[in-house]
Amino acid sequence: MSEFTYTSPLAGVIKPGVYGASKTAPGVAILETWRSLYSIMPRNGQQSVVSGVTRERYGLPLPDIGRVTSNAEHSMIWSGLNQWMLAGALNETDINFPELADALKDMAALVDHSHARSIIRLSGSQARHTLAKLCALDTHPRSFSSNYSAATRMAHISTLIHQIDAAPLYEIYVPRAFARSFFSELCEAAAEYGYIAEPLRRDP
Amino acid sequence: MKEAAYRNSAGGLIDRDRPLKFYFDNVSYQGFAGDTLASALIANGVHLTGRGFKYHRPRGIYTSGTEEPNALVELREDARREPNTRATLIELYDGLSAMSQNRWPSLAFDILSVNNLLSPFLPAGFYYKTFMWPKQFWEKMYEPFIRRAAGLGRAANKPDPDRYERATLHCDVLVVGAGPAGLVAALAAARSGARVVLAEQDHRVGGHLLSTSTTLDSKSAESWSDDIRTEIEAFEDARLLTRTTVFGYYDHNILAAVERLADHLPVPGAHGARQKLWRIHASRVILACGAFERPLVFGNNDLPGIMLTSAARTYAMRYAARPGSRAVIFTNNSSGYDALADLAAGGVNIVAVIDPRSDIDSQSIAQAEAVGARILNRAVILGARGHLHVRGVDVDAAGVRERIDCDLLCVSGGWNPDVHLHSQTGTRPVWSPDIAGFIPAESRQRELSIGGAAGQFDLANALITARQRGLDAARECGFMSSAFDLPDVAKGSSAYSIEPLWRVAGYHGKALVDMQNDVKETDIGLSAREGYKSVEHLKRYTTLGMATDQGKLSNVNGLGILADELGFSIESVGTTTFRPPVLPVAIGVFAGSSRGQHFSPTRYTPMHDWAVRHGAKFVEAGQWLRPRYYPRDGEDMLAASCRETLATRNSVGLCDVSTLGKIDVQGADAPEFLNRLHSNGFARLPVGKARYGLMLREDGLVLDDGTTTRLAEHHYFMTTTTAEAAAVMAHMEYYHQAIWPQLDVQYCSVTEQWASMAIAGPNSRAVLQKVLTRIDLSNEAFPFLAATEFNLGNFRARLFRISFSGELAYELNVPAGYGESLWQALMNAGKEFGITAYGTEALGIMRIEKGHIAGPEVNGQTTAGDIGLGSMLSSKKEFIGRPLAAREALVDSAREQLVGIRCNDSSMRLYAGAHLVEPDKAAVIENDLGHVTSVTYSPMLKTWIALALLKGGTTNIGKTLKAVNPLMKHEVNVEVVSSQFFDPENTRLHV
Repeated sequence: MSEFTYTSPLAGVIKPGVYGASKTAPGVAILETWRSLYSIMPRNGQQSVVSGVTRERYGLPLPDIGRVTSNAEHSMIWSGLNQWMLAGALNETDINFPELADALKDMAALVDHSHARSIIRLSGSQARHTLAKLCALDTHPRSFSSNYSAATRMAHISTLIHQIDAAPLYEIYVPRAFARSFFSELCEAAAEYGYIAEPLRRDP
Repeated sequence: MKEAAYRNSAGGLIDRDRPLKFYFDNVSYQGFAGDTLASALIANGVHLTGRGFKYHRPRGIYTSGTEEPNALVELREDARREPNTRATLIELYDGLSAMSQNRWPSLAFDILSVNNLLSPFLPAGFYYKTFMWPKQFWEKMYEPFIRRAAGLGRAANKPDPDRYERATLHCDVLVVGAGPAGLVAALAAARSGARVVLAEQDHRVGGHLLSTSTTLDSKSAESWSDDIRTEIEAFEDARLLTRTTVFGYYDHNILAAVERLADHLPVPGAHGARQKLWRIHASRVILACGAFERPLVFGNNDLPGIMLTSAARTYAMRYAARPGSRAVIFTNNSSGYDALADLAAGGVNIVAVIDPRSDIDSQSIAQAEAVGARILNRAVILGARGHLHVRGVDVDAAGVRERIDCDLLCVSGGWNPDVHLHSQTGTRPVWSPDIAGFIPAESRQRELSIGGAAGQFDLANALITARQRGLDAARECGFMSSAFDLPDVAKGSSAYSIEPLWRVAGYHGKALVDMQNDVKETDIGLSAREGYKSVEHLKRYTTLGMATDQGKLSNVNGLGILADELGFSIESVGTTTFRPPVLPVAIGVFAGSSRGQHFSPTRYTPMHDWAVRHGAKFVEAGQWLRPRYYPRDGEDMLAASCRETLATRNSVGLCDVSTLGKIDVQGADAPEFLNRLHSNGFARLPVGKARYGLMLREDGLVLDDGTTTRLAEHHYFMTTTTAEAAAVMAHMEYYHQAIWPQLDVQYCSVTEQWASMAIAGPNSRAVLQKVLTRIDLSNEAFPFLAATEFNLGNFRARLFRISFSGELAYELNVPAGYGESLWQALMNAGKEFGITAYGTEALGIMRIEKGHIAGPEVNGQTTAGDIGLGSMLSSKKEFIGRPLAAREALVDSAREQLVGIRCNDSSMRLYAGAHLVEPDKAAVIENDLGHVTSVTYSPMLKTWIALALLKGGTTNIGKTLKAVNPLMKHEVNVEVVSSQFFDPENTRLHV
């Protein structure tokens, strides 16, 4: 146990409760989340080798552009040119960074981003309508569905969005320093549908 | 409140159980839910709604739709006041208040209507011709006067209290307009399972059918329309947007629309927006925008009580509001006759139909006879009579003159298909002699028009085409479905026939072509005579079609008259360019939610809340909020930052430096990449060491500076300044992706990952050692520029011995989530040493005392040599900027170079931006020697000191100069000194 305490990016800003127009049947749920997060950038010509390593260790090969490979706990999210994000289990510190770094030695750059992103889980019947106000992404199931990812601008902020399931449930990765501004705009967009807000359930 | 005297006792799509009270020019009236402001005014017998723009002629409600040129009012009050709002589009709500515009002292008696009498002196181009001399009168006299006389309505002058939103919609098929054709096309597409968006301006669907007694499958127009609406809305992937105007058509089939969510309410709901801007991405677009009826040009054709025939029919049928009791119809086409039965049913007695054509079809004649109206063929109206309302018309029927009394004159000059959106795709509409109007040309985008917008005025045929186009559009998107039955349409009207009439010959009085901009028929003739033969020149010279209605009513008549004057055909005259928006759109909706705090996002450091709790004053550094100083009781900024500086220099201080850019660089070629990026060497930097680095732009000027640390053989950690973090990252991406893709290097920003704090001062080691108990921080074990990575608690941390303050100092990086906790731990550990949090002001004081450069010196115009870093340009390797840094002008010894300056008199202060001149010379540009970049009071030197860029640089040391700041009206004598004011030997750094 560390003598140091963790403070989430939305600490004191996201307060549990139901807000906005509809208190009885809120259309949106906003949940603060934490995951271990590692950026994997293969060295030149090493992408398939790296994909083999991540497949072997986690069952997650590197996905194509705009896609995610995932299992019950972990996700491998395409996040940009030659860049993937390995996301750990929900609110758990479960990825052994030194081990993985060792396994990828000389094959890929592995960079810890576990504290660099605020992760928002967005769900509810009006989640798609809320996203329509924040980004230009087409979230219709025929265009964007489970295990899709996109790097997109929301509220003037570069974000990464990962659709978890068809409910739909999304996770939005926001650079930490922007978390409060993003949350503020997200709440404004969701207010007409009513929304539930829930802070981080447990510290990492 | 008066009873609405012109309201029919039955009929109309109004809710008589919901009476609404409203005010026009502070007089209260009664209307019903379902009314527009215009229909409610007409039901109350109010026709006079405004004054003309230039001649201040009385004007009334002329249309029932978006093309309204006259009935423009100020809606709402105070911060919500909206000028130039079309009364024909405003849905009535309880308590609505509107004021007429452009009149003084009152609508009925308007002093500037004297312009009407002066009109012989106010021709087209009047301003250009008149307000030329004397030149200096323009700014002081003419322009202010013209501005006062011009303009319609007053804008609100307070912040808009309402919210606006922007959102994106994606669809397979967008149908614009929910009239009969749009409804059928949208239904056909929706049945296939395609994603369909149907956008309708009105709050109801049905379009012009709602203004008629047309039946479809023996259903009324509204019930047929509502049934289709219900069916469309039941499809999961179909969406109907009412109160939505598609106003712009952009490349790649992207369209813009504004949805008026709350304009029909007194104020928006608590969490609702007033309006929403939709960006619509559509694979296929079907334009079913309908058509606008055309006015006729004759004498006094702008009198209140004169309106489009279709508008009169709309008021009578849809709103059960009688636009008049005794009507004359002036039409050159068969549609004027189609309206007769509905007008008569609406309680309007039609006394005569004036038709310039010689042959009138039998169906039309029968329609006139059925309502007992005389037909005068080969007849025109020379002029309307009346002052504030039409009282009669002077008719010339085949040479026989006659005066007919009336209180309503309905005109129909034919129909203009609404080709606005179509034309915005980059094409120009083409002339159709059949309908005497412009119709859509071949499209530049995946778009087509149907119904009235395509010039197809026959309902039954329009529906057949609409169904096919809807099916086709869906099929092209991969969705198949089959045709469905269309309704039987009662066939009461004749095939559309028209003979164009652009103007009545021999009219008397003024004949208006563009009522909103007061362009007269004679203005067009004058323009042609003065040589403005191109339609684009005509437009700009006369302002025809340049008002907020964009010439929806006036343009085609204007083109017809111009063609007449020039002896050209109308197709060779062509149209002017159509541009968005189709309808005026409030600026607020473009801003959307991006106002106030949401104009630009704010970045908060991990220690932000601690600083707030400890009373910090913040400064905006780009998007970041940084603690500027932490005042204690009564301290101003200077006092607080001096105290923070002294505490740091005398013992220990702690500063949040999380905003510095941080970039993780790895890969086999990482050393080479960094070597090329920096002017100094990084390939041979030992692992576990940090080095100060300098980057140039390709042009040889300085880009940025920062420290870079080698964490492992192929792993570096780079820092940048706060301001240039994004620029440095983009610089790296450009060179890697575009110039050296073969380099095996991987890098990403880790600014957000790390909370960074600088702990500085002679006691910094002692404080740090209390927290980092397992690391040997002695000078021998961890000397200046040492760096290490280690476990702390359950996370990895990084420590660097680097210093911006010139003191013994460290920079500690911990994962952002632990930043505040670590900060607090250091503050606790430092309590015995009087540890002091310091902000950017103290940071600035200490760096100026040390002569360290920052943004004011690295200003995009300085070379490494200019800022005293010439020795950092390696001669042993290539790096970005090296060739161009050697340019003659960049190595000129006369360049302005970094020096320190201090006041001779320590009681005097300095100002940044002051220019330096010889003490005995005048402060003029010829004598300019340089300028002061960074200024501070130095608590260590107890005087004002500054960094400056001075011609000849350090060769001036010892000279006395004059620092002049004309903006502050300040002059002071200064001495040129070394830029290293404090501890120039760096003895404090290496302890």
